Amino acid sequence: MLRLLAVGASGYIGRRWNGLAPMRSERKQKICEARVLLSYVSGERTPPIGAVIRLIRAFDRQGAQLLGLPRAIVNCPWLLRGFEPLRGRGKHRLAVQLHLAVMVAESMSEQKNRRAKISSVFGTAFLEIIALPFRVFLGRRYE
Amino acid sequence: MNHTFFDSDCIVVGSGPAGVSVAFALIESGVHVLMLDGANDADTTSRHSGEPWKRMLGSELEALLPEDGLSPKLKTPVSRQIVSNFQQACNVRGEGFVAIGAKERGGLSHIWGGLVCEYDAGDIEGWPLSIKDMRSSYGVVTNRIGVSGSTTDEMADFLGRSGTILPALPIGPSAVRLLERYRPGSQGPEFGLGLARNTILSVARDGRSACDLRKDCLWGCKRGAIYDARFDLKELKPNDYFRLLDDAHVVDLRRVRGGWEVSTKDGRSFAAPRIVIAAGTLGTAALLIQLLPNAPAELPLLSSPAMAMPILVPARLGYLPPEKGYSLAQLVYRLRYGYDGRDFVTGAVYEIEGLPASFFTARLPLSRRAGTEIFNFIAPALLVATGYFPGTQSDNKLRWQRNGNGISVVVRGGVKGDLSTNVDKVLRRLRKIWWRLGGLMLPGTSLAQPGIDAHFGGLFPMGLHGAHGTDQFGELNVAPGVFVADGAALPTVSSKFVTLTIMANADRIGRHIARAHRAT
Repeated sequence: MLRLLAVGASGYIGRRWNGLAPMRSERKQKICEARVLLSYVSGERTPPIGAVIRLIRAFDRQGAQLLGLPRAIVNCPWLLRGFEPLRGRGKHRLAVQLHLAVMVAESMSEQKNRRAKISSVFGTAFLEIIALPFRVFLGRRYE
Repeated sequence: MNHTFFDSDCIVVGSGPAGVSVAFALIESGVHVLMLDGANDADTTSRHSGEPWKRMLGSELEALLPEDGLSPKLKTPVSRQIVSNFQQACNVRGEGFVAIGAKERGGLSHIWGGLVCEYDAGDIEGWPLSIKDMRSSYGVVTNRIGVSGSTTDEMADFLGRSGTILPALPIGPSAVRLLERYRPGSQGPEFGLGLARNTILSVARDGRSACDLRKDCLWGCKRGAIYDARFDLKELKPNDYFRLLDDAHVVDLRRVRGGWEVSTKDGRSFAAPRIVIAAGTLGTAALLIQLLPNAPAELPLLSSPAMAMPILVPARLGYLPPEKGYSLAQLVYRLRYGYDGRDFVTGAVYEIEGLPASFFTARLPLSRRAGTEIFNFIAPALLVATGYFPGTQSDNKLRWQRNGNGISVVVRGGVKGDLSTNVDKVLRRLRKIWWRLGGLMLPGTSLAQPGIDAHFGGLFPMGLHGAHGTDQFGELNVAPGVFVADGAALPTVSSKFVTLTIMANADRIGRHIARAHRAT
């Protein structure tokens, strides 16, 4: 029952949101999605173009399909948090592409620069709890 | 073709740690050595050097792949390229097994973790030799490659005392915290903890610089502080008794009058009275299996099943990571779990500073963004401990078949049925021990895919009678004059790090061949 609800909800939201996605060339959409994924994992509003290109090359090599991200996520990449699957990340399209994005993001700068504050960790934990029900229901959206 | 003259007194196939160890022992005794290397001086590391993204992802983004469960070291572009080149060139592949080998100048020493350890009498029980036969060779090799660590802590006897050990490098603060709270014997006689023994220079020597603690060991040391067999080759090359041939990938061996002839992929052939095969365990298997009369369809291959466990040191939370350090093993431990002499786990503890965050975030049940942030926060307080089980816990099978291009080898990975029970037992014990030492073992401990340890052995074991056995000096029973000098000749694989033993055994074999040469 829960599974049916999850599939139904993600399908409904997907149809609504896809309706907002602009028509554009596949290449442009790929660039746009790569920027969104990088922006989401790195927290940088405008990721360096070199990193975006590397991520697109990785997608091409993997034969990754476009996710078809809606405009809402393009404008607010942090919304992706609600679409990440809880389990079974191995073949999940979004999870695989996010993994590649994390690898590219951490190659953008030297490792020694990474640092996090306790306040931001608490904020992250709070957001993670908020996102949990969304992940349960929407995690299959980009399977 | 029968040779009326030979190209050299001895041909060594392979330029890795075993190959150079044999070569040193031979040329010191005045034996002419011809070393055939399937690779050349082209350096894979320099191809992936420069900007940080090239080192981490590869100049052609070779390492930018979906999560595949490999260790951080094997995920680097250099490692991926070396292992993949080997598998293609030698027709070796794994099924549920990571078939690690190298067709690269310097062999696997190019990408190894640098941990060394001597086997003791218990580890070589059942071998056709005594530990006394190995001691001097351990000393020779240790002095040559440069090993740093402690000779005074509890683990010094376990790791061995042969040769000169250089002073230990400073370890990271989280590892220090565990070590400070440890008192020898406090966790029972079956557990021991001490400083790691690494082939990393703490003092400059022989044209190599000392470690400058830049924390980028994972991507290859530009200063030459971490041992690589290519340093030995530099020393060997000017010697009049030594000759190295590039791009000589040996694919065939056949008997000729008074010796053996090897043929390379590009059609060249060379002959010598004695041939030493040191092409790495799997490379050696791919080459030698064809010599065995009525060779069995499959051979047992030993490996050390490995696991990795994250440990949080809560007292270090909120601290900034140290400016300097190195990312090879900081500590080593041993833990006995059974009554047999070999029933113990050997492991190493690493600070995770310098390792990529993606390796950890892929395993956390959090979203990637949260995973990265939380990882960055806890990284200065996080350690990863590995644990290796003895080869008796592995159940790998090496199969081979002849095809149009020669021999193809498939290794099917497996573990013994009681491994999971032993893993549970070890983890329960370790969880308590780390806790008492100020560490919290986090969920996420995983048993790695067989083969990931690269501690291979047992294919042509010394002392085994029969077609695929060798004598106490690694000379094949069915092919006198052909010696196996790498891991393939080890009769057993203990849970200890095996490379130093392979090198010492190769040195011992080299000395035997030199004696035999002089006698003739």
